[in-house]
Amino acid sequence: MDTKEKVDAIIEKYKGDKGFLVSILQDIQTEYNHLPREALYDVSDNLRIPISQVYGVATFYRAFSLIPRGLHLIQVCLGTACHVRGAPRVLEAIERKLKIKAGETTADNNYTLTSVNCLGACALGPVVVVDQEYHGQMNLSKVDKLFEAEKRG
Amino acid sequence: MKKLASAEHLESLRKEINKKRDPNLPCITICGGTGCQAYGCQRVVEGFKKEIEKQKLENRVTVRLTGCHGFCERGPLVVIHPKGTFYQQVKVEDIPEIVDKTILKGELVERLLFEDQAAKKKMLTEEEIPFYKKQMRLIFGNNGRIDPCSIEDYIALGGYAALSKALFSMKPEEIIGEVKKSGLRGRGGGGFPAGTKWESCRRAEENPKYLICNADEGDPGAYMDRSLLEGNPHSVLEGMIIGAFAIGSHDGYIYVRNEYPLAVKNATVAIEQAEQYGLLGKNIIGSGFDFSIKINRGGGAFVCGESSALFASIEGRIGEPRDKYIHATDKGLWDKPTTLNNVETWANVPLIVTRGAEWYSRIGTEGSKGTKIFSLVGKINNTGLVEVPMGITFREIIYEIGGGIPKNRTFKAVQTGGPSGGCLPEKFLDLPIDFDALTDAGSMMGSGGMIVMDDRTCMVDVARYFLAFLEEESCGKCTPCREGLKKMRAILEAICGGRGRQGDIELLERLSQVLVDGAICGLGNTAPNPVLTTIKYFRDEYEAHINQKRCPGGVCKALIKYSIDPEKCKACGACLKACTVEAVTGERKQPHVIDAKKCIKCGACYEACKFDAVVVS
Amino acid sequence: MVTMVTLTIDGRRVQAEKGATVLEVAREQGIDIPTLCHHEDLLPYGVCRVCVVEITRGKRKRVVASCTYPAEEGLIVETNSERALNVRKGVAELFLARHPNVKVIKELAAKLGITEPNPRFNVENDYCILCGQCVRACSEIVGANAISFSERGITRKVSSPFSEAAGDCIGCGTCVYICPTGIITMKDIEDGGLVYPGGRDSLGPRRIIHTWKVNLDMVLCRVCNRPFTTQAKIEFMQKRAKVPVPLEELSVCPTCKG
Repeated sequence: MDTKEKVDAIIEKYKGDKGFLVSILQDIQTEYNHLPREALYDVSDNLRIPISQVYGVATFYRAFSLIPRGLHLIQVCLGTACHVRGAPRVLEAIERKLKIKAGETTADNNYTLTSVNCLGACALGPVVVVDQEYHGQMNLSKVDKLFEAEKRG
Repeated sequence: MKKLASAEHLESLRKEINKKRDPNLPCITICGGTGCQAYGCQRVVEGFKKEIEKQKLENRVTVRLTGCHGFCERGPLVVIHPKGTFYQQVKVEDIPEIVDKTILKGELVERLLFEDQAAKKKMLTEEEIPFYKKQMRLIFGNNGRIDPCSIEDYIALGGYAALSKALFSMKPEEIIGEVKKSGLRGRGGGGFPAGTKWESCRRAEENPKYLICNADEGDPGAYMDRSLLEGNPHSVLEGMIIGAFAIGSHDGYIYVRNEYPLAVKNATVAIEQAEQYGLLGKNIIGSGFDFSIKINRGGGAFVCGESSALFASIEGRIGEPRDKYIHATDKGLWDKPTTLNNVETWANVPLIVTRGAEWYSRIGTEGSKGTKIFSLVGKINNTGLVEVPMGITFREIIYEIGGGIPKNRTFKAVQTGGPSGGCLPEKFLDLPIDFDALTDAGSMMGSGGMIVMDDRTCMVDVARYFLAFLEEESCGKCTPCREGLKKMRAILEAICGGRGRQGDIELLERLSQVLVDGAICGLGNTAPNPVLTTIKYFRDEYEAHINQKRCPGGVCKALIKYSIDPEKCKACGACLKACTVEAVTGERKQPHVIDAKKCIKCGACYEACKFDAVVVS
Repeated sequence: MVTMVTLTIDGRRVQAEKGATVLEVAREQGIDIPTLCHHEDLLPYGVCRVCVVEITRGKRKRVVASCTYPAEEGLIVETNSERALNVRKGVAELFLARHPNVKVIKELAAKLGITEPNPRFNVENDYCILCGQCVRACSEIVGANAISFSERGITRKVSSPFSEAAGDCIGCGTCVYICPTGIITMKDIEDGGLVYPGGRDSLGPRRIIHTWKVNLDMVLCRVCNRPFTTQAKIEFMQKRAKVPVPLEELSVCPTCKG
């Protein structure tokens, strides 16, 4: 299926209701790991929303990325409880390991690193999620171990 | 599945379901809350199912994954009914023993029981455990008894009886009257009297009217709404349907934060099931009332928790708030009369309808009725979700329920209200918690996040943290918030970085007033609160940072130094190995030394040292 | 039937139409309240917060934006109260630190007694003040919706989709005229050629709107043979016309028409 067909199918799921633009974009994001320009133009055509408005929505919400995300997503929780338990140091350690800052993707496109505000797992804080897998009570030595494990695949 | 066509039909269905359930047969409930999911509770559930099958006990024993039990610190949690035996930190390896000993032989697996440190006693059931004892789990209690994806579980425990009563024995005005009389105030942070809001919406002349559940819980550190929506979605739905009937709305939305996929899933399943049973959709329970609910997901924007930004998001636009000089109850979603309430607020409604406003208003304080669910997190021994009556004190929550501060450190402050709230110091430990008391003290109730801080927390860093969060989340529409937050944050970064100057505190206070008075929405209006309360109650810390370039909490990197106490150092080399920049040197049997010039203050050595020899000053 | 309400503004009791904004009422009374994002041909946006005033309603006092606040019976308005002035000055200070070389900002700040950016602030040099008049005009007046706000918070900006050539732009120039800072620029050139990176190689007259990377064919007036508008605008007007308008009529420049 080409992009237009996929997008039309997604919009059909929401019965072409403009109010679900954000949900529609989320489904496209899940499908392509980002929001391809083509897909946004398809949405604009199908829902009869000016491309400028679609673009505005696509760049306003953090859930969306216009550039492809890495193969693996690493999320570091920076919620208040995790912050108080030392999450910033954990984030810095990961930034050092990957040589990128939060919000960026590694050059080999393997990892995208982001921060998240509260995953609701405060008892395990500081929390790091790698591809939906939760790692709790993180500290610097555990970050080392985590990356060793990642290397081994 | 035939749709329920009358109140009697619902009651006979309830009887039917309960007849099939023998309360004396063992039922193993496993907590499926987020914390426990992270602990791997799914594997525990699978493990139990396999073991029960292996022992051929399927006909006698039920295994049920339930909503969050609240005691997140000790997950995975397993509660075995009918005795209510409470096992904590259960591993997959423990399962055969549990099934053998507890299920088959009625014996206890001692090591899995909760041990109370103070009393040095093992506790058998939830009711005995201090964490639960002082709680009043009216809303949250059922989480532990039901599988959120089973409407039968909800109906078995009395679910939808309130709806039935509302539709068939009460008029909309009566329902509104009861909610007003109960004193229920919004649980999302605003604390606005729910009944009054419903009344204004009912009186509004335009149609259609919309009813929305705000599940955009954005305060970092707060996850009560999530656990409620994931763990007992029907309680929220029931409240919404009753509310819709009261105000005259036929279209409802649950606006859920993007970061809560499980809540979206469980709410979706709950809606489908309710529709199948005729509890949602056309002609609800044969009453002639129509109401349907759609789920709309957020896109990752804290500001969308604010009502007008939320409406914009549901309308498919960017989450920009607007001046609220006209109430949402007159012009809200699509400029039509709208009632927006928080998840927890809706969950309180069925209770008020069944037990009555009179009963409800006896719980809590004069100005704040009922219970409140808090997420008790941070520097606390018993992290978890607690539901307590309004009027309880911080001391009771933190010490009796929360078990005090880890490692016996000293209490410094408790933060409530998220980025809109404030940090209250020790002198407020005996403050009875309610909406007005917290506001008077300079903080606010907020959605229920309660973050405990100890003496190794820097209050200036906390203020800086919140400003960084808000700067990131500001929609950027109005000048005070967009530009003001940036300037305020820069000043706090300077203070934390050792570049604070005389006059910074006054400048922060002046800018704060520009936001308080000038910003369009609640995000901007309340953004200065963390700064203002920390200045009010911890001014000495600001002054230490600015005047003495010192961080009393030992947090701000630019103002602290890592060194090794030669008296305590055992020359084990752990810090040397851990150091990420080779700043530690030391021969074997010689006390190790940190080269301050190389040190990047990452804290790895502090973490690695088992002898407390690394000192932060 | 128009309902009239009585309110007090700066001590004066006045009558106004219910629902008129406080700013409209003030202006009618000759009271000057400064504005930045306001434009009488656009819906009030209420973002700059320069026009704030302090109102008293019952027992409650509150600072509100006068451009969006509706006149009500018994409202008391103070346009220069201490609280309102503090917000106005604070906002001017914040603007000046970010836009120190923009004329309207300097004038506003000077009127409030602020001549220099606050030395404690990191001073920048941006020209777009994010008033949104260009976006709003393109949407509300023209209906082309070619540009929009993108991103959010401190990185909020006005841009064309993907920051590339604005595909829906018809080159009417409304945004250029309405922008209070002059940051949006447009140029008509007689002779084509490769004038803009990626621009079409053409010998005809073209309209360039640099800010939105727009490069459009112009149309010659049927009568005087001079370029006067874009092809895109003519087509847009044709599409929008409720009654079909012949192309011949649309290709006459305003001078020759009148």
